[in-house]
Amino acid sequence: MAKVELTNIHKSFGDNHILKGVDMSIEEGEVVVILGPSGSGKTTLLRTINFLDAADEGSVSVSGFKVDCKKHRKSEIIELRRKTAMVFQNYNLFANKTILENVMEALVTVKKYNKKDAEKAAIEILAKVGLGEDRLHFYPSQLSGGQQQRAGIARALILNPDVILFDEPTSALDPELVGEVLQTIKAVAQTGITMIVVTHEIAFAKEVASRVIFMEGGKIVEQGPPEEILVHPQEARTKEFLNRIINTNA
Amino acid sequence: MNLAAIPSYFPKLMTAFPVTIRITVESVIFSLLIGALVSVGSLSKNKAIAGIAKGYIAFMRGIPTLILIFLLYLGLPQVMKRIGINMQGISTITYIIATLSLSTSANMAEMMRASYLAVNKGQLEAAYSVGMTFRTAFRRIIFPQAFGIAIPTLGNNIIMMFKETSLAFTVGVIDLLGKGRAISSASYGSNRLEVYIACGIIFWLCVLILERVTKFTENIYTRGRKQATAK
Ligand SMILES: Nc1ncnc2c1ncn2[C@@H]1O[C@H](COP(=O)(O)OP(=O)(O)OP(=O)(O)O)[C@@H](O)[C@H]1O
Ligand SMILES: [Mg+2]
Repeated sequence: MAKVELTNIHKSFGDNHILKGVDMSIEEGEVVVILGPSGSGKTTLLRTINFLDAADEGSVSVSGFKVDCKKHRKSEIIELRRKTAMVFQNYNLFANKTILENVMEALVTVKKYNKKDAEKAAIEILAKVGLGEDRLHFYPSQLSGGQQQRAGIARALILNPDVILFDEPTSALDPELVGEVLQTIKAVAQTGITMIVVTHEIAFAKEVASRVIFMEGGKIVEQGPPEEILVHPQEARTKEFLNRIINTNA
Repeated sequence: MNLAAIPSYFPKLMTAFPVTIRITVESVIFSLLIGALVSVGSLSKNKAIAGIAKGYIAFMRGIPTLILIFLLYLGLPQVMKRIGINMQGISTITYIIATLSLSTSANMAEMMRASYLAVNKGQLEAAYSVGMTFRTAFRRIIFPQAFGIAIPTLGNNIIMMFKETSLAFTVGVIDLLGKGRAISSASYGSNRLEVYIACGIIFWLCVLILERVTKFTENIYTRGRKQATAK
């Protein structure tokens, strides 16, 4: 059974038809990297998976729990969100909470852990993403972007979700901080958790992705293993896109 | 004018101070309750509800408080009498508290709406992404941040209302100013200026304290963390 299954996802904002029938089936443990030009609907697609934006048509299924986008109940959305986690481009850590509290928060309020256990689990996860005891009681605004994003990853990880959605997790970072965050994401990928990552980091995609999807104009143009899509793309639009970002990255 | 006599009025004036405090405290509480209701309405996706809430805010902000006092104190009993309700048992202080609650509720509603909207949208999305319901997200993430944003405005709204309690004497409530009037008429108005200056000093000191408390609360509350506000 697929871990994540999207069928015929359509989404419009007003008259703007953004997603035009996206199908996607992701197996357990896959690391799927989504590439595509700005405005192609990558962020929107991720947000339809956890219903931050509800799609107008189609269905989303995570670990066999299927929600019809047209007629969904609130309780279904909550349940779906509890199977997923998201890492945001601009971190979106809870500004009124310390790093430790950020990571504990959902364990306490959603999973109903007692505080002690939640704290212990949070400290453990934070250590894994390289945030030691000395940073636990800092507020997000007191940390570097790289540290904030690693805390964001810890906040997602601690829920033990079936899939983690990453939306350009490194694109708001200063260049010298990108490496540490990519390293962290790579380490997460190696634990076998299912991930969908929107990124422009081609080298990262080559190394970590099990599958690369190229999107344009709200549709999947082509997909396959990274060595195929990134090295020998079949579609002219994929080639053109790759040339463009390789040239601007160099 | 006898400036030296001013301090001698403080003890007598202060006997009415609890009345002013009571009006302020009760009006703050009711204005926050009404304001919360109205702000929820003004944020509603339902256009009719949002329209009613915004109309209420516009009306309450536009009408001078003194006129609202007279509308309630003089007008309401007449209207109620028509539908068979006798309002004679209602004390004048109740009319004042009702008036200040209503007029300030508009400012409180605007404060709450603006503070809610000032919390970065990403905060709610992050809360949703970890599986929180709106209620939990509001209680744990949004409200604490909105409150931090609202503190200066809240302090200001309370100060403005506190000063408006001085209108209570117009319907005969013996608050600070009512007491001042009583004192001066006892000596046929000869010391009117001195008594009002004494009243003014008391108000001014209280406002000074309220300002300090506001600043202090804000500093304590937001210590160590910057607020994440929209844009
Ligand atoms: N809430 C919204 N309201 C209106 N239009 C939106 C909204 N969110 C996204 N869009 C539009 O949808 C289109 C796709 O946006 P999306 O953010 O999904 O693109 P993207 O592929 O993630 O691009 P980027 O690489 O720049 O992040 C854009 O044209 C954008 O303007
Ligand atoms: Mg995007």
